[in-house]
Amino acid sequence: MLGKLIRHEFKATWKILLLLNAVTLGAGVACFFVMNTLHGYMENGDELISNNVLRMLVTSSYVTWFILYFLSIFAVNLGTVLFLMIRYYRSLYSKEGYLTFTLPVGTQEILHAKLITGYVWSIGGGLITMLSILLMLLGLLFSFTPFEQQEILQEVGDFANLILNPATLLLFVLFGLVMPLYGLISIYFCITVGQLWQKHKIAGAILCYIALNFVNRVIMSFLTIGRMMLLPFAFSDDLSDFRFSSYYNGTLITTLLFSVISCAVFYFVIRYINANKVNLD
Amino acid sequence: MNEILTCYGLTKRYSNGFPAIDNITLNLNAGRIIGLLGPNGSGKTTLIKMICGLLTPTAGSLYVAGLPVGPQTKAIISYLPDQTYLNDWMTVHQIIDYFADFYADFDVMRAYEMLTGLQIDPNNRLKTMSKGTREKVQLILVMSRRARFYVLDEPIAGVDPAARDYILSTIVSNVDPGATVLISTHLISDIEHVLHEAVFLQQGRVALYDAVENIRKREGKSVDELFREVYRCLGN
Repeated sequence: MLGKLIRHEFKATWKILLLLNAVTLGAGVACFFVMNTLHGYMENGDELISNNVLRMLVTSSYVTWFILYFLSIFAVNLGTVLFLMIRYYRSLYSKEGYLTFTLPVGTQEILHAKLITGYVWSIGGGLITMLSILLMLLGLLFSFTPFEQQEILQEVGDFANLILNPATLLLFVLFGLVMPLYGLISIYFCITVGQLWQKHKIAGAILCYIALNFVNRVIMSFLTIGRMMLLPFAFSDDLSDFRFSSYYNGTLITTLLFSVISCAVFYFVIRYINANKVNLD
Repeated sequence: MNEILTCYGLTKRYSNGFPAIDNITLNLNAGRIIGLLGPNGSGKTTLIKMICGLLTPTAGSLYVAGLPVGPQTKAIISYLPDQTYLNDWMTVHQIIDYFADFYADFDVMRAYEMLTGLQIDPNNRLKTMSKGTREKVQLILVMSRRARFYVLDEPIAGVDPAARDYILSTIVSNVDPGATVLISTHLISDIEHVLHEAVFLQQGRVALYDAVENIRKREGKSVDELFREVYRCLGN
């Protein structure tokens, strides 16, 4: 039955979410060409160097494109989250819940289907966003001369070597896999808790989200900044002992552990509420 | 097992402490059409939601065909809630696929026959239909299942007399022998002629459960007349 639930969940979401991902990718492709052309023109166009008005026009178009690109990426990612939120709320806690919760499946299977589908879309959306940003950056890179390109790549490589090692990379990958799940399940948790309110379910979910974020920020601040204060160099002027990778790795591990534990707590609370406390109008 | 529903000391209290269902012990026989009767607020919908697994009892136990409420009982219950619960962005065709996918007892042919009879185009989306048509589609879906237990919450409330006749005839003509129908309503005169048994709920308790014929003989009046008398007395 889980397979059927997942199939119908994808059927209900693929049109909108595929469209949103196509917009992200399309924006990346457009930026590849626009960044390449405009930046190259700014750097090398003889006419542009001698004409201040034209130079200002091209520079402002360049900046506008850059801002529009990031705004569109932000809007598309926000749209994906909002769509998944609305889908979760409507199919479980609005009138549609009468159908969903009377299907001959366990309430945990319903939750698993929502989580698996949402997670696949989140990871897919994240990868598409990364690909889109990469395309935009490649557009920028290709507008430089081959010599400049080599210099830029060299500097990026040096910086990466300074802060990254295989352990950090692995932690970043784990981070990239866990955080979308954390984001998704925390939102589902807030919606599920919010529906316990008799009248104002959406307001309840928003309040829960605000409270959860506040608590989360306090705990994360303690785990990251507080941890930094405990390091030996914290009260010393000598930063020669500072090791980026060691600090990052420690912070990433702490954050990962906190996120995984939070995910487990949210999961069991949602399961309990869906099995015992569903509050349909 | 000749009992489709068994409740022992079933109680449901809401967060304000109000007992919507108060210590009910009830056994419903299989193969009957049973009216779940009572005024507004008597606990009919709460009882139905517990039977369908939408609410968890505060105390007591509830079994459907000898099974505790869960996926297995949901597979044998065909539930019609008192409101439209279908995804309105779907076409009727897509909803039929959805039902056929999840319910092994769903009869696709029967669904399309009933749609044709009512001249409803299965390619139309629900959101393009009138409220009455959407309710008919929902009834068709529920009655297209060859279920053992039909639980219908206020199926004739808020519809015109002609539609009531259609709904009742659809229910009666599509129930397989051996299946049980539990119909909740306060419009008793409209459904009395199809009922075999009646359960009277009063302030969350079972005030009366008997065969309709027995009630008529014993009381010398129709179930509707008795209902009006009992609840008029309550009001005084």
